[in-house]
Amino acid sequence: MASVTLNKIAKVYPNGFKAVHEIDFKINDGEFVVLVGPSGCAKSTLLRMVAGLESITAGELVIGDKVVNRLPPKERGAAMVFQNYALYPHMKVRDNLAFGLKLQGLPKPEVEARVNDAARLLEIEPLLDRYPRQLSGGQSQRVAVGRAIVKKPQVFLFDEPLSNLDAKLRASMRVRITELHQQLKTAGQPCTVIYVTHDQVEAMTMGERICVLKEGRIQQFDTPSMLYNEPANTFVAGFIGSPEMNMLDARLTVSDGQASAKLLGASTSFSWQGLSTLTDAAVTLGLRPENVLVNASDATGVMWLDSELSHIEYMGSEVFAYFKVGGTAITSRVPASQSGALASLKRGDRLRVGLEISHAHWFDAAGGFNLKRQH
Amino acid sequence: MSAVASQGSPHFDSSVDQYQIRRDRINAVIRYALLIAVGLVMLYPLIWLIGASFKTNAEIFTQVGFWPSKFELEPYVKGWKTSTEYTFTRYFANSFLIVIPRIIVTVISCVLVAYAFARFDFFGKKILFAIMVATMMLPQIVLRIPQYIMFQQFDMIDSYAPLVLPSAFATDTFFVFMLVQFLRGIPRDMEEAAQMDGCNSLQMLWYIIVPLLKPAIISVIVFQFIWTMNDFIGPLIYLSSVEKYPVSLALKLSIGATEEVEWNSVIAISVLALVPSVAVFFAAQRHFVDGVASTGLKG
Ligand SMILES: Nc1ncnc2c1ncn2[C@@H]1O[C@H](COP(=O)(O)OP(=O)(O)OP(=O)(O)O)[C@@H](O)[C@H]1O
Ligand SMILES: [Mg+2]
Repeated sequence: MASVTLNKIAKVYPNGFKAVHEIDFKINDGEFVVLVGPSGCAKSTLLRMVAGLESITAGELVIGDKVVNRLPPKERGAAMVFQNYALYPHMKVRDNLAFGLKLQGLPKPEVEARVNDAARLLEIEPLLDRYPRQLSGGQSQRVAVGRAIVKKPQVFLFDEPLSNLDAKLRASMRVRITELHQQLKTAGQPCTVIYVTHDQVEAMTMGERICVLKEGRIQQFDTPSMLYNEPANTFVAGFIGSPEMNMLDARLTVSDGQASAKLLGASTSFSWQGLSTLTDAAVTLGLRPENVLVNASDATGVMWLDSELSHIEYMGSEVFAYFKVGGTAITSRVPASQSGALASLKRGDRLRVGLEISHAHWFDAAGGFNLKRQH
Repeated sequence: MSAVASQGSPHFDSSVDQYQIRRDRINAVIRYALLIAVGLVMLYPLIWLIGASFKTNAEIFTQVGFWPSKFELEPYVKGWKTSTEYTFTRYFANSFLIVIPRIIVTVISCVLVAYAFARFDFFGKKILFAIMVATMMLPQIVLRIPQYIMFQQFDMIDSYAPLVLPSAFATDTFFVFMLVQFLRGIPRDMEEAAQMDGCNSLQMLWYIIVPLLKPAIISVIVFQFIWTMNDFIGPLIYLSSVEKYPVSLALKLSIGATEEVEWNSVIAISVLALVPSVAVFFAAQRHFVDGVASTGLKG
């Protein structure tokens, strides 16, 4: 039960590499926050700094209301679940769970009670007398979570805990961890969670808020729906959502709430909310694949263009279709029930696709920032 | 068509199998014959030694074969008694009085030093490690005289201290080196987990590192046991009273003591002197081989 605040936190590794650039954020008490970003964006570094496993070069780290920069890990009240679980191979599961508690000097009955509670919660009771080498990946993972739970920490830290599991198990563990967070909250033991992953699906499904990182800098720190609907820049827009958002070069003119755009050799005009005034500015238009229509309709605000089909992926309930308009690739995502005309088409066939310009995101071509968020 | 194929292929396979099996078998026979032959050649002195220990003194020099005409236990009995005022019970006890304390201080000091080199950053670490490795190249002989003078000044001559004490300062650099290499192969995640669990450096060493290092530590114990048990020069230099002699020196004593050497007794005791080392080796074999072969963890 504690908030975690980072004030201008920076990290320079001994070899001079600056991994984290002055990061600022506050995670509220009991919140589930996900740190997400591509490999090497310093997610782990940040998490390990919170844990106390990595020194903090500059800035201030506050847990609860205490500055913990110089405190050793055990005094920070955080527990961590490692990517490869890091269970102690020479101890039984029971002792793995109890180890930290014994070191704290808790009385034996208390230790046993906590271990048994955690085991019940995670359904690992039958495994308590096994050694880690006798566990499957998913079981090890739950033991690793258990080892964190028993300590009743103020802050839970997860570093890609599911990346060693197969897709199915990953999906079920995802639900489990989210449920666990809720369960602990209702049980009156709410805990703050910082969860690191490079998987945007995990991030979107688990996080109450998500912090998107790139090269040691925060790109956006927001709720999942805000990230999806109002990405702060082209990086966030491209990172969140699958298939990736279409990014098209365009020129945009805005005045008096009216805008006109030129792209792919055509032009369109529409109403514009927002304060900017632009004249023929170079912009990037971002359009989610679900906003690219393949069935002719008379909906307004749709820009119809001639295209050539490259290929189609059937995903079961959905169909991903890849087109070329001129030389530009465009992806469309349609529910299988509405794929209609697509089924009979093959590579190279021509089709009119509709861009729902009203749903487009507009980014500055040079800076990549979202024009509508920069008021 | 599929029926034809499935009928044809097992027949074809089985003939290949037969041929393959026969060839494998011949290969195996040749391989084992060769290995056994080489093994016998290497073990022959030992086999001869054991055989000779049951012979009479005369038979040793007259019969070529290693199989004694009659199994005599007398050489053992006589040898054990020795021509000195002590029996070999005393000498074996002396050996253990040197070996056991030495192993204990070796393990403690080497593990501590290896832990420091493998897991901590401190000023001059690289240079110190290089110096330590360099001392491995130093011939023992070079150290004998200064060491002797030093222990003389400490007034420790004719005690076991000069044989045990140096090991308490991790001077067996080979062991330190081996442990450092082994530790480097162990991923640090477990230690980080232990750090999160609240371990300080010493608790980490005791609860996490030592259990993980177990195979390597057993190797250290085995090596140190065998080397110290067989050490001759060390005790020869530092020990002067017979009552303190370890087995290795006492053995020599029984050769030089009388005019006519009773070789069968000497040989019998030599055989017995081998027993502890061999026993320790076999007792620790599984871990020991593990420790030498792998400097990492099974996943
Ligand atoms: N000990 C180190 N010394 C120097 N640079 C380091 C060190 N550890 C990490 N880095 C660098 O810091 C950056 C961030 O590393 P970090 O491990 O935090 O990435 P990550 O976001 O966790 O990536 P991944 O998803 O692959 O785990 C990387 O560019 C990495 O090369
Ligand atoms: Mg990482």
